[in-house]
Amino acid sequence: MIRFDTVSKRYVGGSEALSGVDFALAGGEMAFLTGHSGAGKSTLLKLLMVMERPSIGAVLVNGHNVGRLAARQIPYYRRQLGVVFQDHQLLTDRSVFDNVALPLQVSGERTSEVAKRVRAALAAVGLAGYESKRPLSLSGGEQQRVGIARAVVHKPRILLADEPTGNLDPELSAEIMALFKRFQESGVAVLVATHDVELIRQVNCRVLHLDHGRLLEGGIDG
Amino acid sequence: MAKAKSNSRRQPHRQSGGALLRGYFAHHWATLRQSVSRLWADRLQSSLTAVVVAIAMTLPAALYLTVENIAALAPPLEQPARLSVYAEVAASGAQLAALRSQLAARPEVAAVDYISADQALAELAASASFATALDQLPSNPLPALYELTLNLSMLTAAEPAAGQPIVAQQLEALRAELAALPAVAEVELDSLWLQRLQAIIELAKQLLAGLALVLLLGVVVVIGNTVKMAIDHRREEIVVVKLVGGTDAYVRRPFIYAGALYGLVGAALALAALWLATAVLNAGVTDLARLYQSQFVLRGPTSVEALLLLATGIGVGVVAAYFAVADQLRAIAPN
Repeated sequence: MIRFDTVSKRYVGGSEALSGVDFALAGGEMAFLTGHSGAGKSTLLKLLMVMERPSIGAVLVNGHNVGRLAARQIPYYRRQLGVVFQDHQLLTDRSVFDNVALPLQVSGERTSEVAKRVRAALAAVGLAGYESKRPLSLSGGEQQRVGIARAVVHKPRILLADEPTGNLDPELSAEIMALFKRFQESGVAVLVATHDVELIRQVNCRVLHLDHGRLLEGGIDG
Repeated sequence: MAKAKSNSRRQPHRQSGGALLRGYFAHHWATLRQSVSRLWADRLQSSLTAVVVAIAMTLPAALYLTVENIAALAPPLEQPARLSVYAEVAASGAQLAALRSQLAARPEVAAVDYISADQALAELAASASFATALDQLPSNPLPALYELTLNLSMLTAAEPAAGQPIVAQQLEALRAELAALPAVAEVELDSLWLQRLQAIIELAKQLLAGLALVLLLGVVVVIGNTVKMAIDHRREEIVVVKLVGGTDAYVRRPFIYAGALYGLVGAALALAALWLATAVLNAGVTDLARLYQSQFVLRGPTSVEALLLLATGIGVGVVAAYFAVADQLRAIAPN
């Protein structure tokens, strides 16, 4: 589903954030992306979200070279992804419902369908009945789960998460991971960037280890 | 630019065309309502912007109405043009008779009214206040006068010079020609002042167009700036919307609505100001007009002009917002 083919990313006038990264992730597979800060985790995720384009190599999603997408095609590509952010990026001036509904609204989904799917997504993350609350009135763990509901409400086949447990205590982190596991089991490709070593030890799955932009572990060549 | 692939337009869920269209309109309506409530939430800034827009739109519109009103006050030019040909006071009877037949023979001249020097004196003496003063004069100081009614269609075309009404040029040429005739002291073009007024009105209209353009540019800057500030406030939101697959059009829409609303409200305020000013001024103007035995009434914007002003406001607001958002969208495009 996702394949990096000798991908390098060099920022203008700066260092090489990724060099020669090769790996593949299948549907229904879950992997951790680890490494020190600045190792290139965020850059790798940004390439997948087409917030950046690779300098060398190809990022293939479902066989499409997404680094070559024209600007007007990018929104339609992004609708296939679900993204969970470390700082959850909830819009504080709207209700939980409106936050979760956003990915459906941007694709012009029918209002009745939106309501049904938002309720289902909130129920899936254990926040049924939270629709009319404001994000700022929720705890950190609840906010992050709203972020996850938003990431999965449109049933993406790829779920990306950037430090999803960064600000959470171990118990909440484990809950979030259990959620990701459930999505993985339903066939979603899940890629979680984290430096939480404890968490990785608890969850038994593949680890892609980045060091100074190089993939040291878990890539195609091992 | 790569070609858009049909399969890149993946909808998360199959929908019928009708449902999609309904969803589309529902979304537009929701966006408009959201934009209105956002402007309302930021009332102070919004009203400041609207007032500046209103001022910038009131100025050229008021000038336009002034010019229109002056133009309406000036009598129409279509009435037959007249020339007054004054003979030399010393001209003999034979010279006068010759001049008369010369004038009457010209194809441009439709009719000649002759007012002799004696007639002119008698008319003047009829005004009581002049009677005694005229008695003191040794001889009649008044010239004989030929009032010519012109047939404008017979005017021969002179070299048309750019930018001037042809009729005015031809009349001027005819005036010069007649003034050169023997025994003619002076030729006056009665409608010349009208021509001049028309020319002044034309010039005023051109200046007005220039001024309106500059002020509209000002409106673009003011609205663009306000929208830019709104965008700065909502930068995070724009990034999130883009990341969950919102198109540029989706991101742009609320700001376009905001720009249109600023323009609309500003134009509406300008319109209200114009109507109010017309009503207030008219009290004085009708009094003044009555002194001149005139039925003249200042006119405010007509309904067509009002609609045009509102449409201009909306249009300018949309353009301003479009450019302001385009700038931001470029800033968050992928490298």
